[in-house]
Amino acid sequence: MKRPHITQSTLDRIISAIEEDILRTSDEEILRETESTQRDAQRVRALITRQIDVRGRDVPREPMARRQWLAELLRVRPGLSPTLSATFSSRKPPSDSEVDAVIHRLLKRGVLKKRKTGARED
Amino acid sequence: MAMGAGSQARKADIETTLAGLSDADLLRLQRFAQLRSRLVPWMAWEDLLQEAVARVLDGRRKWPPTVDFMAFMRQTIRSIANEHLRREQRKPSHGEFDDERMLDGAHHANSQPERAVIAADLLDAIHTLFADDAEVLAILSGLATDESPEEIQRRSGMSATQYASAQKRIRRGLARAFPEGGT
Repeated sequence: MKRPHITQSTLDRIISAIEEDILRTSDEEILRETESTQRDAQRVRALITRQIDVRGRDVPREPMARRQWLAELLRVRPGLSPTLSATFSSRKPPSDSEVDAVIHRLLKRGVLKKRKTGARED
Repeated sequence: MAMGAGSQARKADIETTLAGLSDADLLRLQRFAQLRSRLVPWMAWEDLLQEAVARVLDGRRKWPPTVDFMAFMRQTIRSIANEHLRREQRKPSHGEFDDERMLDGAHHANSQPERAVIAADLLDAIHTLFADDAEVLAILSGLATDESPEEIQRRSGMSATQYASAQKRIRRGLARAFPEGGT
């Protein structure tokens, strides 16, 4: 059998066909085919839950807690905001005002939720 | 699952949908990320999937109302992987270079073969895996030339059932051979 011409688009077509097949395959068969089904599913679920959780948490009030919370946000969402990444990229920990500025920016963009208590972020 | 026509899914709906995915759908997401991460080997599949989930939650990728959610996530993962591929291609090559070469753009051309090598290596691995499976090789050959499933079946003399069976072998073979998406 002649080997196909090696190009990126060739590989994309092959992978796309496999993806289509995965979409069409029944749930029962998908579950049967994976050797470590429960562990793998839990791994993906944990990844999704972390993303939802960190996004849905109310912004902490205390400066130290806010700094830690932003650091965790950066850890689970590294590509979220260049400003966030830059804030934590230097050796010196960010100041309270730098932390506040980043939080304000993320709130304004709608990436974070405001506190349910009614107190507003400045 | 697809939303009703006329409105984008609200963010809460996205969260609910993601949080409520079945084990089978979670495994599908994993497989999509593992497959695509083979084309961007500097990225772990978890990072690719994490970025896709993040963009969907952020609203940077919007779920169209008439599109099945898993098909949408598959496309999102694919798109992000391609974005990383293009970004890597734009980086200057490592090693010594001078200003003239930079202006020349020759260093950009150097990164094209790297991308082709990644694709070639992966295709080699797939062919080796299915070297004794003529039906699978016929499908791979047909996909390379953009043939439809019907055309592949006609050319190779496969029935639809044989074709479906060979596709299953491809899917299972790759899942077993490349479980983490890496080499």
